[in-house]
Amino acid sequence: MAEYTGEEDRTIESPGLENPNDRPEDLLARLRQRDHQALAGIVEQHGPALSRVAYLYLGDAHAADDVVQETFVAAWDGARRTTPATRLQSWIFGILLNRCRKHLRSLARRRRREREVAVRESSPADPSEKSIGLERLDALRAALAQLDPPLREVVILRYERGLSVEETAAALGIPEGTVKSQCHAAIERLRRRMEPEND
Amino acid sequence: MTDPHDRFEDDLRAGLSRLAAEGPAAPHADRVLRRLRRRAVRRAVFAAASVAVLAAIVLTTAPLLYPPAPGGGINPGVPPVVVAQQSTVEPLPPTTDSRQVETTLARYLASAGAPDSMLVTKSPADGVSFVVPGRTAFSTQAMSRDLETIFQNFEQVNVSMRGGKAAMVLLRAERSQG
Repeated sequence: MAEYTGEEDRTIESPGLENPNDRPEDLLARLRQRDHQALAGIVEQHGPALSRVAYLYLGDAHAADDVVQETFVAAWDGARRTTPATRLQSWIFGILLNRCRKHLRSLARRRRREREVAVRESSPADPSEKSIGLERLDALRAALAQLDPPLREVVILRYERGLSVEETAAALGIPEGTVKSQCHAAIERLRRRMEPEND
Repeated sequence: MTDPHDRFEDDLRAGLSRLAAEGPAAPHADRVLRRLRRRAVRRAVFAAASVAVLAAIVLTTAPLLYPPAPGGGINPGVPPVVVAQQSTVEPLPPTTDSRQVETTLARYLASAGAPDSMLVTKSPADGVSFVVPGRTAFSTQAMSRDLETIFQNFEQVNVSMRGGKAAMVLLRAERSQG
């Protein structure tokens, strides 16, 4: 895994995108033509969302950072297999989740049964977000880590990213009905784990 | 009254958002592009190294698979190289004497790169056959053809060459007589 150097690299100058507001379909079309600037544009547009999803999925900042970079490299490699009908957001989330699964498999091989839930020091709470306390946040972190990966993927895409059922299905390559049923199952499991008194 | 499920889902959204905020910052485009470049360099180095290793393997194993035979030739596993000039031999005249047979065979063996000892037999049924001791650097096919030419005026031949000296029995062919 690449060494995590995110903090120092945040100071690097922007590569100078020609048009940071490029439409997704244009970016993908240029990526198919091996345009580095298009890749830079996609990183700028989707990097934050991918980082959040990867971190929620993996629970490890270093691993998430590495997986997100791998995702963009894989997108560069796989762009030629896309078509004009490919939707950039679903496509790139699909790549990210594949990479996350691969990372977890690799981790599982190394650590066998040990599934480490990294308990980190929480960021200072945003005063505007009073709806969930630190205690419940830790409970959510633990419950999310215990959730089966397919259910975790659905919950993250639907509730953190706000993707529609259709977009989630496209990203995961599963039917919309499966997205709905998995989403329902995931919510029920999370609720039981976080609010056992409601059972 | 708020549905507890909806409230839970609202809390879930807020909680996921808070958790996600603890994650790493998005990678800068420069870092991704540098990673691509590093990978391209690694691949180029690997490809060059692979070619070098392959070349080394070929250079190392080729002499083992195709070792040179004693005398600078090649072993029988390699397509034969005709050392003897197949068109230079001429038939011994049917009236030749044993000295001429010795001289002709010795000269021929030397030109073919073969040792100066051999056993040559010829019969009406089997044609020419020969035995040359040791590994040789000549084509057996070419030597058979040459010996056929040398002894074409004889029906039966039994020549034993040792160190350039021959012991022989020759019987002239019927068609060569008279």
